[in-house]
Amino acid sequence: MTPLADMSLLASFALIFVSAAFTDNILLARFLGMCSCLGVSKKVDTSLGLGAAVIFVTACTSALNYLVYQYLLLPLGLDYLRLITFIVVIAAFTQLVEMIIERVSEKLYNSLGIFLPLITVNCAILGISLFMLNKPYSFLQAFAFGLGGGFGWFLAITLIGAIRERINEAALPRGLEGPGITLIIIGIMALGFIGFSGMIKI
Amino acid sequence: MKETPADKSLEERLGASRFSGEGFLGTDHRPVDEIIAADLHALRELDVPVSRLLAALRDAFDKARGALGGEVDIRPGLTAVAHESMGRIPSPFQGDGVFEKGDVVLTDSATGEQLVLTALGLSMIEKHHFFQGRGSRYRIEPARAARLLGLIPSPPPV
Amino acid sequence: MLAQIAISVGFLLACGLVLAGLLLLAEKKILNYGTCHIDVNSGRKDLAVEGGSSLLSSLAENNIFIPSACGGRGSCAYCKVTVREGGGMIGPVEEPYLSPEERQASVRLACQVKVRRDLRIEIPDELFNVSRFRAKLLHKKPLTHDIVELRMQLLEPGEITFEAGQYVQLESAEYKGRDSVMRGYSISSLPSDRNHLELIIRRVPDGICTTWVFDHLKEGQELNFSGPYGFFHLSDTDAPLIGIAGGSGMAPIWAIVRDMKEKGITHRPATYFFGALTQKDLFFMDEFRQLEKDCPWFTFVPALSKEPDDSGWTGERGLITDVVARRFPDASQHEAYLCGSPGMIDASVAVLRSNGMPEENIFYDKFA
Repeated sequence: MTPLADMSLLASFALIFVSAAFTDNILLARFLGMCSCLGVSKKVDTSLGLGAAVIFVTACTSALNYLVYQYLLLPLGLDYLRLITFIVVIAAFTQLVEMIIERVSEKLYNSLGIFLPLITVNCAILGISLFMLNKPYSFLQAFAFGLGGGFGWFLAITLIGAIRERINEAALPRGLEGPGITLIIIGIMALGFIGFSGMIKI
Repeated sequence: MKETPADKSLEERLGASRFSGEGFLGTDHRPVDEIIAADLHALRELDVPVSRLLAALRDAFDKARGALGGEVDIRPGLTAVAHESMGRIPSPFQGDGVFEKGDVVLTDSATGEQLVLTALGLSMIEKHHFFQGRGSRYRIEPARAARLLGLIPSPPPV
Repeated sequence: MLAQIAISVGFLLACGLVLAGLLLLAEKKILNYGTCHIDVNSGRKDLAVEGGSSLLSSLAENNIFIPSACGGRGSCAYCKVTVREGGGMIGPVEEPYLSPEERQASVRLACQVKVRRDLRIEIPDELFNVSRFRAKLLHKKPLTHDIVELRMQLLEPGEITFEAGQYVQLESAEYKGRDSVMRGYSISSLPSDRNHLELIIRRVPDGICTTWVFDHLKEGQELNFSGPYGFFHLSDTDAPLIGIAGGSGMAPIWAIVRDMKEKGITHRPATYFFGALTQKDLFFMDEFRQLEKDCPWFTFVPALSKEPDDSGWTGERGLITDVVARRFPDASQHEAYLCGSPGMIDASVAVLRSNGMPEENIFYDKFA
């Protein structure tokens, strides 16, 4: 018996979203997606662009991977192949979306599409797809988990970007400039996010 | 480390290209951000603001450019010669436009030390605080430039 | 056990194949813009091109060469064209180069406009005249220690039509890991010599193209250039001329003066000021002296700024701009033709303006 079973659909949806975004923040609690975060979080606007791309891709791929897992891998008894299958699905999905965005809207492509190749292979996105399997989620709940996880990453990188914009103007010790100080910022923010832990247990 | 498409293409444009045979980074392997941060740091240590160094460099550049290839004295012991050349070069920083070619070579008559100034180089210092990579012919080493231009006292001869 | 392996391998294979197939299909379907039509100058030309590449390269494929110094990277802003229809929105790369007036007039950078649908564009009529030539180098003659003259025989097309004063873009070949580049050089030969082309080129330290010309290009070798470009040519007024140029900047003036002689334009007095540092930087002295003798309307004034005082030089001394100011205290009725480094042009414009010449009578090519 899971606690989620007796909740209304909307309530469980919201709860999963909040827990994925805050208590289980993929960047600050799980330390995934660090590479693109360090590289791109220099400015708020690029952080926003990449964050938005991540939200979109995690939400879609977690739903997609849920279907692949439930209706292909489990019936075939191949659930040990989930990691490699998810990687391929995510990569193909981002490539496809990039092509579609380029064709449909130049504006969307310039603000969002250019970041897609950057997250074709991104551990945060793969991580969300894998973690979701640890819980007995329904399809919609899996989607909510992906959306929440992506939002959490978006929130974290935007905050880091804003802090870095300010801190870049300060006189830093030479060895700490760039990635060094960013890792320290992320560490301190992670301590802050520990405050959320235990608030929601699902 | 993953980079934004903009950073990546900037790094490509700073390398050897159809416009700059040697590129702007010389033999420097540091990322652009780090080069800029390190040079700004050096100037802070010397207590010379970028604007002051830039004004002195620009003044020397304009004096030499006005002499049409003749040698001019910038300050005692420092001469400048403009080497004219025609054509224009686009800035590696997109949106900055094109700049006239042609070098101004500053030479310390005592030590023979040289600095090579260009219109594009001065603009990159002004807009991006980018003094170019070590090993580039056009690198303006901030400490050396400040010393040659008399913004900081020279060390006593050994 | 064996079945298990077979299933997993089969699954991965199928998975990979399906996704790869999907992507290939998508690339064909989604990124295929089909054939697009480009209407140039309201029906003067209608081009059918494969969609998906930039306007600049699509036009080049159809032998319309828009001047571009950066080769389509969106950093020189030379390739401005008017896109009346179908250009899409202004991209972030071209944004900084377009003034509000240009935006109003639908001006775009041809290298940043992607051909996605039918386009209607406008370009200057002169550009229809531009072609890409293949030529053979007949001779490479040193004129001074750092200036050479190239003379080429045109092969394909075999003839060129241009006005004295225009320039061509010479393409260097690849050497020592350096890419092929294009650089502009003024034509020094006469328009009447339609099968040949001459250029005067000065060596630039570390210059990609001039290093190729000086160290790698051999007589008899084939080379490519495109042209003619530029709006630097003799005006059709009756005003007397002042020409100012030093070094390789002499090329267009050399062509213009001889073109005047050939066409019998004798009613416009012309004075050419040749600025140099020392005697070793002078060239074509005998040719100009001869021209002076043949044409009473032409005066040649070489001036040296760094010639040692004790040398045998009897001509003018000092900065070329000072010499011009001395000779023409009132330049209000003259026209000036300048070619040289930006520093020299700035200084000359300042002197001529202060001696009364209106700005619109001072001509120089912007490529310099």
